[in-house]
Amino acid sequence: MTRTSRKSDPATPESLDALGRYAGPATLILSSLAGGSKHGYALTKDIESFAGMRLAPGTLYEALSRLEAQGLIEAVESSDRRRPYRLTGVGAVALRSQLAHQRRVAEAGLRRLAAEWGAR
Amino acid sequence: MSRLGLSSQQRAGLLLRCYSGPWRARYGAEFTELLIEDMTERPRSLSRSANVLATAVISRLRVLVPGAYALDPETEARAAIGALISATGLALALSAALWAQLGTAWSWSAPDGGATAGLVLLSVGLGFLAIWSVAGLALPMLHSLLLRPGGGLGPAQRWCACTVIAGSGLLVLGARHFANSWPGTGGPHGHGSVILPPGLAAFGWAATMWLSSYWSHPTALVHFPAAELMWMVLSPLALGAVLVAGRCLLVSASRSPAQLRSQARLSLLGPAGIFLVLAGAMSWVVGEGAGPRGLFQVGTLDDAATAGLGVAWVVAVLAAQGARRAGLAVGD
Repeated sequence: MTRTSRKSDPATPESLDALGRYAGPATLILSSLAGGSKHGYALTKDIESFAGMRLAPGTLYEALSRLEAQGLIEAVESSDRRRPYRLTGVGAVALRSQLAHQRRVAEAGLRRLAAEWGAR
Repeated sequence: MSRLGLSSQQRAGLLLRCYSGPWRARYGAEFTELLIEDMTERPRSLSRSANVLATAVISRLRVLVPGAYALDPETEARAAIGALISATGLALALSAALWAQLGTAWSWSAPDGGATAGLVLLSVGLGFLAIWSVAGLALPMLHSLLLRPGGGLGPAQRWCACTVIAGSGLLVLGARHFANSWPGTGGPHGHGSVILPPGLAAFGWAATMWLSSYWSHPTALVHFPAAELMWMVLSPLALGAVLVAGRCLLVSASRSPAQLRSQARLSLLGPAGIFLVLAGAMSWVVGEGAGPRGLFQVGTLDDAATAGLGVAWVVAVLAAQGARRAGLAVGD
């Protein structure tokens, strides 16, 4: 299996490429946190509602810990054992870049589908 | 409650134990809450357990890489030194077993080729590892545990210390008892080897009988006395208990920043010693010839032990690099 990276976005701290196979879960987590801070279980339910997929607990926390180490999210002080996380400025830049890239890919795919297969 | 009568809290606690100590210290409480809420919604989920186990293995390796998690340098250095202790313990156990097998065979007849180089390298490597383990790891930590102001053993540490003493005592007494009465090692020994006295070789053989080709020959095992069969099962359990409790004891010792930096500087000696014993095992395993009377025949268990040494070496290299990077960044 070969690993791919975007030519326009080298793996800088603002890019999700450095997260490797956790880039997908990371995009979902950052998208969820873009709507406000959340703890682990709230993240799971929110992602399930808007993406239709459930992140397993181990995957969620591996991605969360990597995002925190990269400074893309930060823990919020809380007296509750369920510690919430919020998006940082760097995380917002990374998410915007990631989503813009995904939109370009989606638009290109939809354009080609429409051209070759028509609107069905 | 699960089928085993465990509450969600207890099951979450068991799953959490799969992660490394530093990871648990940082994320343990909140991860436990997530697991409990997930278990409330999905009481039984094999995929959840498999996912947690898989990511726990990943986190145990990643915690050795400085900066992989948002941990302070001292926590990272302690985690790396803990992994180095585990790798060293595994390497000591496996290489001692291989060394004892070669030494016992040599006490009957001199080997040729790879087995000779293997025993020399294993002897040098084992000596090096033993000295480094005691001087570089055990003594500084025991000093912290026992002699520093406010030191002393806590309840868990006392339990670990008792386990180490009891397990070591059992291994020594049992190996002494069986060394000269074991089929294959008993009776008058041969000419002995230059570097390994026959009595010591027989003691090592009896202490590490868990790595024995007898397991592959049930017809031979049937004729073994019950006491010897029990020893073949009990001795690896005792060894495992000594290694696990010893690791817990050493890892739990508090260390000053200066001690941590000193251990970090010396950490590269660990993989160097493991490399020596790995080279010794490899030179025997890949070398051709079973030697006189097939005494130096390599079995599947020897291959597995050599592979285990390889894994220990890779973990030790990663851990030593992590310990150096993080340990030298620890400030006063």
